[in-house]
Amino acid sequence: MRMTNPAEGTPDAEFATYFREHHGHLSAYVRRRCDEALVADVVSEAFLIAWRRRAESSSGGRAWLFKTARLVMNNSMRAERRQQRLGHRLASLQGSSVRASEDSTTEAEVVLRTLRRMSEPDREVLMLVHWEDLGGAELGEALGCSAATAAVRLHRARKRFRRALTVSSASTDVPHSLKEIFR
Amino acid sequence: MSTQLDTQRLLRSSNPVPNAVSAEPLDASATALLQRIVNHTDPEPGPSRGRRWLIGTVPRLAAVGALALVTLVIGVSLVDSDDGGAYAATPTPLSTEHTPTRAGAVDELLALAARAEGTSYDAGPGGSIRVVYQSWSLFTRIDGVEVSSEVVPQRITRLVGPDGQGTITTEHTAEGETTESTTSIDDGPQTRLAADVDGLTAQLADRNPSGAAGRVNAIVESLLETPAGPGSRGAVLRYLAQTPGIRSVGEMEDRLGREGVGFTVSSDASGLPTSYTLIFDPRSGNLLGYEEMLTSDPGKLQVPIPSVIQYVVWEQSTYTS
Repeated sequence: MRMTNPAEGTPDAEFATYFREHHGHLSAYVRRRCDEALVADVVSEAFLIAWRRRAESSSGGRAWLFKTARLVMNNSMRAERRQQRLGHRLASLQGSSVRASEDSTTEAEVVLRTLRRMSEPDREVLMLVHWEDLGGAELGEALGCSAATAAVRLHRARKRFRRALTVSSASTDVPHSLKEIFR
Repeated sequence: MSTQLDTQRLLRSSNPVPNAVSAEPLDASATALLQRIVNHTDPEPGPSRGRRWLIGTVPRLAAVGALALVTLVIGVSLVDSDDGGAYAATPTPLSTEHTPTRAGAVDELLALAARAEGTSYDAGPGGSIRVVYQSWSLFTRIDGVEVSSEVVPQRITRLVGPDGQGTITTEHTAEGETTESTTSIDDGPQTRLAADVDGLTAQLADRNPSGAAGRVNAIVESLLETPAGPGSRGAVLRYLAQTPGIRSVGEMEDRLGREGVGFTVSSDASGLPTSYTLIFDPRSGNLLGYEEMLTSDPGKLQVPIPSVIQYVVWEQSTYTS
């Protein structure tokens, strides 16, 4: 049996470092996308795959983990559409988080509502960039495409998001700050 | 402030889960997970083809789910393989002897599109959606060193109002017991499928259809969510006719015994050579079924070749009041 505190420089130690570096990021990534009850399972399976494919995962960093976790979610929870799960997740998060002020809460709710209504590919690229802080090659790795393709997808997704948010901001229940931006 | 920057600020400020700090020490459960993985799991020395398929190319049809009705489950028992191992049972392929028409797939699809467009409107009144489908999927999971396979039967009823709010009811059968669960959904305002191929192509572009298999998946995903009237069915068939490598399978029955005509594309985009087959009603152009079948290499999956790894059967797809 291997040791809990593996020697420095061993594969176990390298993986432990990788695990410690990315565990929090991966947990947050998964928590934004699926029910709380499933977060631990998805994170566990993604890291298990990372362990088994250490050469690939270590060079891919957190973006590789994000991609793998997304596939785990798809693969292990096929009965419920991913988009619907995410819709639920965003809906459940809406109103329970981001409560800096009354106005900002409402603003966040409108943004989450808008995101929920976008296509899954558009939503994923926007979330990866603005919530997971990915960009460039990392974004490409997470999306499974080249950095250039990812940039194009991001550009188009932002355009569609602004268009969708403009529509949302036309309704009466959005804060004045949004109306000012998208009038 | 520019709209671009405002957009970025809005998205960032709406992040519902705070970002983690890398240097933060692991909590007890994370530490335990790390120990479990490192202490009790053998690493895989390098990437293998089977594993690449497993985690790199899970079919985009995650939407479908691992679905099937009890009566349609071919079996979950294991059968002996040639090398003494055990195969996971898979459904019998629907058609191994193809009978394509002389016209070829494109002409046949266009003719079917014209027939579909000529039928009277039959997608139902009202703006609510009711889609009922059965499916089955052989999916893999990592469970110990070996990749294991599992049969999971389910049947899904999707009821959605025009505003996108509704329910998904799932009948799930495992070990002889059927359970049912219903989940609320909010998919946003529902859009009808375009009745022209250009409009449909634009709609399906949102699903990022990549390659021939991606185009087939885009069709399947759309029709799992949205009914198609005669015009939309024609558009779907014309879209399929534009798919590179599309081939006619000929006459075949779906898993409910309905007569249909099949069209297929082959792709190894998933990492394993796979055929993706759509079965249409030869009169109305309604999509009856969808089949995914491994054709020459099972990778690490314990299945014979050929093996159906996923199918869908549409029972009902209509608008209701």
